[in-house]
Amino acid sequence: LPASSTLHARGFACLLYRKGWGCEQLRSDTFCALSGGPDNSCLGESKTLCSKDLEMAKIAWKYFENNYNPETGLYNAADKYKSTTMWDTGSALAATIAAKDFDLIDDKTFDDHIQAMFKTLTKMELFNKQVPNKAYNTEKGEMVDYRNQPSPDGIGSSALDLARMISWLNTLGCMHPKYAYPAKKVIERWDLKGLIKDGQMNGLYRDPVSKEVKLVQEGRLGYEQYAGKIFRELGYDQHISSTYNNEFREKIDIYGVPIAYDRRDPRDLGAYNYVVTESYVMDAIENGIDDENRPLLENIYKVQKRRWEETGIVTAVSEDNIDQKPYFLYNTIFTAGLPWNTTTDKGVRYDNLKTTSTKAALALALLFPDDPYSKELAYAVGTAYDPDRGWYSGIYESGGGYNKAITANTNGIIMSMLLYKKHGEFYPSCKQCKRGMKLETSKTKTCDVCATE
Amino acid sequence: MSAPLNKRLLLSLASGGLLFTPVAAHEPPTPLLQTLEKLACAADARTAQQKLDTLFNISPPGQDWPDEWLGKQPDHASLYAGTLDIALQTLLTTAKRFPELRETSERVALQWNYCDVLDDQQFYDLSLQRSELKKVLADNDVPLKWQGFRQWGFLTPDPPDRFVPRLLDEIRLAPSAYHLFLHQVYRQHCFPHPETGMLVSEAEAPRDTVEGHTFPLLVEENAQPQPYPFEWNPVCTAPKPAVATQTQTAQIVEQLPPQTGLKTQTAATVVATHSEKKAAKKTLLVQPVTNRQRVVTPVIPAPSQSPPVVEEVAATPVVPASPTNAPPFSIPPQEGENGAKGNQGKALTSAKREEGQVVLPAIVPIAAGGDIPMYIEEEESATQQAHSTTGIIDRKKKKLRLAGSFADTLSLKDGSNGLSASATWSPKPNWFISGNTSFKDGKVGYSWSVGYADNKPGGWSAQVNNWGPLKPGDGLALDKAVVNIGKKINSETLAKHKLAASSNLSIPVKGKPGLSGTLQWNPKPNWYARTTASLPLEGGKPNWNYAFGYSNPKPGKWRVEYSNYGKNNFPGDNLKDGAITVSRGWQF
Repeated sequence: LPASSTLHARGFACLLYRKGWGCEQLRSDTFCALSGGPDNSCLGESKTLCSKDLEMAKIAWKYFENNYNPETGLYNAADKYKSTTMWDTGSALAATIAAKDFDLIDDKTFDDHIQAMFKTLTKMELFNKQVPNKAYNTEKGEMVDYRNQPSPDGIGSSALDLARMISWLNTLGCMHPKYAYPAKKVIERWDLKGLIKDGQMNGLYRDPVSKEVKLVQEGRLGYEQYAGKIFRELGYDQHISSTYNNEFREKIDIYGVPIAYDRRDPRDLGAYNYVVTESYVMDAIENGIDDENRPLLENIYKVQKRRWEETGIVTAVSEDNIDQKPYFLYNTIFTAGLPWNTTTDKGVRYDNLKTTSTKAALALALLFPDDPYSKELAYAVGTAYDPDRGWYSGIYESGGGYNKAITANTNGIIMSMLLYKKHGEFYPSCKQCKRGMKLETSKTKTCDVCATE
Repeated sequence: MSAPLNKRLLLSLASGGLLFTPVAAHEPPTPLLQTLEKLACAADARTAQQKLDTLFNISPPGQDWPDEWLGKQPDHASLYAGTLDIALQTLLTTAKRFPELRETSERVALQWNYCDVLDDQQFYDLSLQRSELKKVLADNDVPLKWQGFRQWGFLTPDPPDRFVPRLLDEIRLAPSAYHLFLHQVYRQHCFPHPETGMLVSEAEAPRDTVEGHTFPLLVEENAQPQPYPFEWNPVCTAPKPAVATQTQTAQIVEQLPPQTGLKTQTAATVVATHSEKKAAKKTLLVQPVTNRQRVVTPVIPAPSQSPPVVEEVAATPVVPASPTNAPPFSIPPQEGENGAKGNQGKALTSAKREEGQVVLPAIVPIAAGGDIPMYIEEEESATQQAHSTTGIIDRKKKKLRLAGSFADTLSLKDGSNGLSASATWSPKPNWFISGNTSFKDGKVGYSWSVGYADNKPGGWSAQVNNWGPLKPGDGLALDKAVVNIGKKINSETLAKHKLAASSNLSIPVKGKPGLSGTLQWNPKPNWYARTTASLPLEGGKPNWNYAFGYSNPKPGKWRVEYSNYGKNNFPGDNLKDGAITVSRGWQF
């Protein structure tokens, strides 16, 4: 420091002294020591990432560098596409936390990004003045529809999306406690009570024909439990949605492996009961692995390994953007009565466009590092990236080359997987550290609870 | 306000019989038909919007099909399949006439349930009496011969341009919400699938969800189909009927299929595969059809049979139609097309073209084969979508915005043959840089143009041209360039007569300025005739030139033109001095 700065520092210190703090506390390295970040030792001992891990993280972070919008602090959900959801913003927040943790960005960049995002989150218009709209324009921060067209009234809201955002706001506040309060304020701004009923989650949408806002149960076995546990941790009643052992659980044997699925059939109720890798992986790394989800996760791994053994196809399925029509596919282990069903939102099958999902393959490999199949998975997708744009979404099973769609979700999950590798399961660690977010009881009462009181 | 009931139908109901008693003569239209007629005749979008608004929430309690009585007689609700056919056709026509009402038209159609009307490949008339839903096989001899159902994709084969509601086709909602919306429309309301065009009964094994009648259901299995009792001859009193729309309507009537095309049920499949498109999969069940001639006599209901008046009866009086082969109904001019309010500047961008319309450039070339190929703007794709948990679905593929053409010109005057190639780059709509190279009599020549060309009615153009032919080594030869300022005339009268006109001020860098006017006539789609009269502003004789031919403006299509771009004296012609040009254009 220049001499004048030292004097100022000393003067500041002596002011403190006059208040009884004592000049003797002054140290020459004051801000060097004080600005070093929070003491996260309570989170447990962190593991060291290998050089390959960091190389993978750098590729993933490239996506977020390219798709950051400083005006709003929001990241594009897909490469150069100026739209996002709360789900994707959760993925982007995970990536930002990881980038800071891996020293891919410095404190200043990290804070600038987080502050800009908070500014948007605390001011953005809410659907029905209640909860975040399903989609926002990442440049303007305005509510849009799914075509990224302005939608002043909004199109609806997804409880699952909000859960993912809440999960990473929780982790942000946990790993960077200075953001715990603003993160909580962001969530308290949302009126979540309407979305939680009878121990389940609900979504909102505006019916395109009647224009009425409809409240509908949201979530099927898999994603439902991932999100239900997050709301439960926040203090909401999720006695159905937060457990895999609920009344809707059904079982089907695929390659002799028992796979749990939701018996609420999409052909009866409309909502799809996709069984994919992603929800189980995210549940594991964010909510933690326990006796309930461990066998399910193992079977998700096992059945894909069995398919590889039977067919020679390296299998890691999930929902993914693809780089050709129909542009988005649910590549599932099971859905709508069919195993290995690859389908669109319109329920049309595209078996010829099955892909090995990059995020699914890397996540499974990371969770089961000792299984020989994991080496196959990591090897299969290890080069599926553009060093200047990020990780591709996958590789076409039938030899169609890379699926060059590049998204926040794929790259965010890769970043969060590496963060998990370093620090372990996030919710359990944060609870252990007494840094888990809880809302006030009055804010988490649902209408059914009110009725019984 | 409850509408008075049709007396004959009331009598039928009072006698305890079925609603669908045999009728020999045409009944006065029901309130639903009256509303549809007014919608078909709406002269402007505002009126059409009002009529569309009255078509919401007109189902009887517990049902989702439209009631002939607009839901105002809940104890005697009924629906003829033929009326629903008319409704679908009218909604489609409305969506096309007033693009801004497309979404509302779609909403009207998507609110209804078609499961009982088109069930197991048969059309049924419905009635709700004493809390009992009755279905009676519908007569196939209905006014529009199921054209409405066919256009929306209910029947096989699908028309090539099956009308798919954007509200259903585009994923505007969150996917989880879209799944529920699609489920309701496709599975619960038996509407064709937006992608495959198939009905749920064809694509999937029967499931309980298509059932769910809230009332006891009685299907009259053995009942004979009852004749459709109403006429559909909307006779509109619009002051300026749109010729194009009349033609379109006439074509629809001409194209009525010889049979209904009802389809047999295919083996149930769980989910349609992409390749299993409807047109390739369905088979036809040929039904006997009576080739009843359409009645074109005026609809003047007898006082004793006055139908219930919906509203504004006086506002759209029914007038006698031509007693001879007049089109069955005429439709008022489309907004934008004839200068009506509300759609100006929306219907066509500068380079977007209506089907078959040969766009007259404001600045007409001065030599055969010298046309500047203009980049045609593509229709806005509304398919760009984001997705839950990830991002895009569709992104417009970036175009090079290059247009080009090759031409072969045969001179009738000296028998010489010339080849030319043109290329235009349009960095933004209407802005362009163009070059042309030619080869004639063993000599290579070229020309160039640059500037702005807004070729829609009322649009301005400003260009610098060197029409050439320049020789290699001449460079841009700016001293021989010409500044042209053109203006397309915006005239309802001209448009009504399929005419287009433009004026052009020509200012050579070195030389005398001139003024010209061009008139083009499009008697039939893709056919045109054009003449230009020019007047030197600083002395000299006026002259004229002309061209006619066939041109399909779509990329990759052909153009054949006779032209005489010489400075022909007034009056007189010299056909033998002209040239024939055959050209073909592309764009990337």
